[in-house]
Amino acid sequence: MSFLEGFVFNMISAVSGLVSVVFVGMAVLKALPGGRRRWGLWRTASAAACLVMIVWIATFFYKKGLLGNFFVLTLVDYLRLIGYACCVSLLFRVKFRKCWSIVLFEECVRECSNVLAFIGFTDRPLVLSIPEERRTYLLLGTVGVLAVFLLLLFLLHKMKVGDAYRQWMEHRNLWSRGMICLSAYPILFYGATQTLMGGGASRNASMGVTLLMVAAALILFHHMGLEEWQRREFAAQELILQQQNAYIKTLEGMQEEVRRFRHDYRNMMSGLYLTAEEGELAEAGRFLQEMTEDFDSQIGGQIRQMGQLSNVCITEVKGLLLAKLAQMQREGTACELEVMRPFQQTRLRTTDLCRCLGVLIDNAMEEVRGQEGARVHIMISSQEGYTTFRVKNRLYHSVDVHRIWQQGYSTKGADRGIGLASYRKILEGYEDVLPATAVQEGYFIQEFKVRERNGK
Amino acid sequence: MLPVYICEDEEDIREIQRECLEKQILIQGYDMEVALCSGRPGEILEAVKAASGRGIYFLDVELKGEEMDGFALGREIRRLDPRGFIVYVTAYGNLAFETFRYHLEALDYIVKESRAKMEEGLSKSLSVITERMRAEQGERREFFSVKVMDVVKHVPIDEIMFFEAAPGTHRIALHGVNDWFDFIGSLRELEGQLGSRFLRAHRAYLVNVEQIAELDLKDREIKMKNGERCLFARNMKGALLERM
Repeated sequence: MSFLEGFVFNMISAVSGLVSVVFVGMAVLKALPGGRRRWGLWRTASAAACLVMIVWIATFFYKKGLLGNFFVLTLVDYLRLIGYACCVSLLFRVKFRKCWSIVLFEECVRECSNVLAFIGFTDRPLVLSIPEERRTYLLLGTVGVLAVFLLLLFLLHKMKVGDAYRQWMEHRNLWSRGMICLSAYPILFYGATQTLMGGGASRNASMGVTLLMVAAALILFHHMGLEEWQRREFAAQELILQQQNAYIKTLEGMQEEVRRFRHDYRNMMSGLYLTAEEGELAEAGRFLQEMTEDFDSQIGGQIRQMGQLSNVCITEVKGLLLAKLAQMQREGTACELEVMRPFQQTRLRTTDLCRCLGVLIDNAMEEVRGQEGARVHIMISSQEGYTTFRVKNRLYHSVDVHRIWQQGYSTKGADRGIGLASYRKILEGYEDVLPATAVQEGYFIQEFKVRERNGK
Repeated sequence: MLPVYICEDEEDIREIQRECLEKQILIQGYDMEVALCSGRPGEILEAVKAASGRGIYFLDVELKGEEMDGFALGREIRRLDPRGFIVYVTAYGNLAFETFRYHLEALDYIVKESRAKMEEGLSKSLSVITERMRAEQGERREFFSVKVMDVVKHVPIDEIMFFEAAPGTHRIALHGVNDWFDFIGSLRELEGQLGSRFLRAHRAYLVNVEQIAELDLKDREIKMKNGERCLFARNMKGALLERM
């Protein structure tokens, strides 16, 4: 095979590999942005150049006959992986870190499907000079591997591996540990196969052992993820507990108020009785009015808020609202919460819902903090199969509606506004959720609507 | 003449409201008349159906013994009379009014505290309604209306910069001076609906020609008056330059 032929073949396999990485990144892990993208000229060109360079190096080593060497093989493999990650990073404008994890994930799955496809058929390397064996090899190498690959991806997709992987990528600590482990995988793979085969084990056995190692690594990995998950679950429960305590405190406070009011009310009633007896009806009317107003101002507001809150039937959301209400009370911000009808369920995952609501409420709180007559309005409305979440606050700065989603844009200085970017990102993952932002009569309004049922 | 409807289940209060409203209409010389006072939402709906025009509605929020509460009645009225004025009357000062305003475009609410307060609220509502109608007559502004799930949003056309389609979905984002929201639709339909003021500058963009500030020919970008940018297709350059 001439250098050019080798180069062309390698190029085809590299491009198909890249396509597969992009496919996995978009469809299974959903870590790459879909949708409209401008393919910048120089970015595409550099990605292509990167690919060509790696293929050239690989072909060069191949022609020199160096690929039999374990170190060279591993080196070329790493080069290839890094090249893929660079290309994806350039084309999709995504951080290298993220691309690297996608590439590794794809590589693991593909290598596994490779091993699985061959392991079932032969227990020795196929001799490519025999036409029949070559045909089997080609068939297995293309259709067989592809079928197993797609099957594995489908299974992983069904197992919601994308969610787990994304969560995992968000945790820097876990990410780095896992990445080191996964990054060593190609070395381990080749190393193990080489050592075992050198030790006289059959090809299948050595591949089987390697597969087991990969499986073990993945299980370890999964376990680490699980640990992290449990830790977070524990923290979440702790939070719920704290919120429940806050709830009880509020109720006790209200009871105290009612008790005090009952005491005052006795006195007021006797006063009223006297005025009425003296025939001063206007005075009595005024007295009554005052009494109702007193009641309203003392505990009416709290009762009302608790009443609205009791319409929120999702514990985590209730907890979030309680925490925010308490925080606003401390900061001297008045909060009006409206939940007219019971809000029982929504299509949004609870964690996502809490994050989104949290971002919007935090933003509103920050805008009005320290201002005179600070007030935030929160509405959750379930109507005819749709749920609307709406947060409204008075604006004290001027806001560019179309810029608030840009990462880092904020009216409050640098390093802010990250929340809104992630809010938008979370909602983009849902088909039936429509976000809206508006500036109306001096108010800033953020809402998202969820269609809870299909076919409407 | 604008018909005024009152739906209130307590007879005394209903009478007070009617008296007060009739007095105000007479004193101020409003072009209105009290068409129906009833405690039954069904009756009100029948009358609204028969009248088929814009009306003013004073609705009690809590309707005891009826299958419909004030909110549901308001929703039905909105269906029949999208431009009518709805004012709520409630015994409690703690009405979830934002919800009413959001879903029913309710104008205001009045608390039945005392006769004086209620009368004050009623006459204030009438004057606000008159003011609104006067303002509407002067205004020649055109609005773009679109249904977003269970509500209809209205945006002045001269405040819209462009519509952006998200590929692979039916989601359209409206980019305006004071609004940015998503809805379900298609650019082709919008193109037909909005006419020549909007130009399909790109597969994914329908642009308000009057709001274009400048063209960046090198990057093939349109800069809008509010600073926002969108793309245009190569073959649209001529059409854009011609229209600007």
